[in-house]
Amino acid sequence: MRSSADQYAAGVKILYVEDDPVAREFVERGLRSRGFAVDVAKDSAHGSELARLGDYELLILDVMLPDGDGFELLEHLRESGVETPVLFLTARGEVQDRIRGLDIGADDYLSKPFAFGELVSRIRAIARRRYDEPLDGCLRTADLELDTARHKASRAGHPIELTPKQFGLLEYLLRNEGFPVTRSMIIERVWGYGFESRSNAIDVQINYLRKKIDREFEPKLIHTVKGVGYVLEVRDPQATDG
Amino acid sequence: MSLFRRRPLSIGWRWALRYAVAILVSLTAFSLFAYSRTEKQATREGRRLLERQAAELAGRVVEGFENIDELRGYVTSVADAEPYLKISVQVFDDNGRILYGRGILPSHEIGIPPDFVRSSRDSHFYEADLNKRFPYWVVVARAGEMFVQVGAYSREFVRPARELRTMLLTATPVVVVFSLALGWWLARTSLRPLSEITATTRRITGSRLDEPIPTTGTGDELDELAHTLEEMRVRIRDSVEKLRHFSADAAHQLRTPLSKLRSRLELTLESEPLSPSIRKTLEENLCEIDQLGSAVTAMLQLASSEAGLAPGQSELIELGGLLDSVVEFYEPLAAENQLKLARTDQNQVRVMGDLAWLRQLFGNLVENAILHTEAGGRIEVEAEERDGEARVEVRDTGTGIDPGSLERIFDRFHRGRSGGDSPAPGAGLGLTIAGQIAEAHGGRIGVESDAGAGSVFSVGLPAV
Repeated sequence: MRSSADQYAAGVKILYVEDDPVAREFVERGLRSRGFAVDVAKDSAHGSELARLGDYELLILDVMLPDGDGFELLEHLRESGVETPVLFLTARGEVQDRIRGLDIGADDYLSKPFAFGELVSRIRAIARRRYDEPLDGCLRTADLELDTARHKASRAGHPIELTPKQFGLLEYLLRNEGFPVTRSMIIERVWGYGFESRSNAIDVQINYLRKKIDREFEPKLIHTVKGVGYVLEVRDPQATDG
Repeated sequence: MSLFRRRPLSIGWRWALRYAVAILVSLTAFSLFAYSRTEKQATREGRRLLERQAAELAGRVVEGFENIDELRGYVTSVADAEPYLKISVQVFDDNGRILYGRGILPSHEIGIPPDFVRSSRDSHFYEADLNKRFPYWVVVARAGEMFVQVGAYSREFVRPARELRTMLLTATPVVVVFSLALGWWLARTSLRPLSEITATTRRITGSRLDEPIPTTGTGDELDELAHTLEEMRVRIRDSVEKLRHFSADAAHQLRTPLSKLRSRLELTLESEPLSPSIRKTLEENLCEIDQLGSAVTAMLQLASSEAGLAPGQSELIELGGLLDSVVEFYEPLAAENQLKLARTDQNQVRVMGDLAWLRQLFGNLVENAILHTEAGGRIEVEAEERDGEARVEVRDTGTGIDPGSLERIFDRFHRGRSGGDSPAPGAGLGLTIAGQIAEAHGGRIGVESDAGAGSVFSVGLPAV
């Protein structure tokens, strides 16, 4: 079961720094099977060397490494001018650890244990983030238009009333068009840290957005990706899962 | 309930009062002693003076005199010997008639005591009754066949003692007031290190264990107390630090194998051809791992919130806005369950704290209320500042909590509300975490509930 987004994985070159051989093997195999090009390093020193030489689009760093922690490695890399996006993958999942990681220049933070789909979604979100920011501040797909400067949304020219958070949610989905985003990615990016909901609050929010965006219009844009989260994209009518 | 309660006196004032009382008692004792000694001394000297003057006059009279003028001369010299004593003198002839007198005695005609006349003594001291308020001292002495009498008011002799008494009575209040002030100042000066210790100790919470308690270095009792507290602070700081490290280590130890297990399952599910029953089992295992992961996360969060806010984790937060965002986040979920969720005020209340933690605290309370309120109910969130405390209430019209489990509602893994089986991972820890977060912020959490009518969860945090 491959989504159309897998084609974007081709050419995304990743360096993965992890000391545990078993974890390293699984993640490496999983990422390769999804079309990413993966190099691995087993400690901070090796990782630092590779990160400086290789032309990577993403670094995945474990926080606890045998020769120093991942935070230090990142600080070290940023100081020596390596601007490659970084995703922390770690067993230290405290919100404060996440915030610290993001503060020193990481792009994302994923705590173990994680669903592979979650990791892949986050990798794609980072890899995509550098592309296409529209000049007029308008995001478009199909007949959906989102004016980020004026905070106005419309479909086929009909204005759609959205609350600020619904607007933020739609903007986030639209910026990741074609790439599934997970529930926790949505919470972190749209609502901020601390809303680690155990209930289906996000599903309800998405349903509300769907009612406004999709109910009276075709094609449907917001789709559920089983086991991962949600994606905004134009699909063939046959492939639509509602 | 704010009844006016009298504050006990400060140690400073108590010390000053004790000091003043001690001064007052010793000063009074000293005064009584000094006064009685002075009076006794003055009395004795007065009597001796009168006896001396009487003896001298008697001597001269015995030596004889030419005429009355010479006698007057003798009398005058005796009477004026100590002018301030206003000595009165009279001389009697052998028949008891007054030959010459001076001062107050002649006008009172007290005569010579018959006992003395009959006796063989040379002189006699006695107190005469002049019908005056003050005792009058008299010495009568034989001068051959004649008698001389010398007298004076006794109070003239004790005047120095009385002056001393007046002086002491005036000085005492002044000294007492002065010693009160001095005592207060002394107490305050010597207690100043104590108030610094108190202030520092008060500032120390789980999040601020890095400020040393000031020691004076004098080695006295207060310094010893400061040292003891300082040692305690260091021990607490170390154990909090250890707890933080422990939760990081435990996280690593628990999550790493879980993560490997999950990856292995996922890869197996993806790459191997599997029979449907094995596939189903593996997928179920995947769900269990996720639940286990959530439970580990919740417990580690609990451990770290028990250790208090880490230094530098605190910022100024406007609770009103934070509650609005929590309400906004959960409003669709509430509406989905046919509940009304709303803030009932527009108050702005500011506290110091950690944004993510406070969101989680109030999110947990709201989520808990949504889970335990039946369709058609209301959930209200209200914030206000009262007596320096930011108070947030989350009220629901839910099933309520039975009184027996009210006390244990914030305990770990307690699932007392409504008794339903709640499959959500980490359930049973939401309220515990909320309570720990409140405590880590120097606040408190409480609940009141009427079974069947709803519950009110209230959180109090120190307002800024």
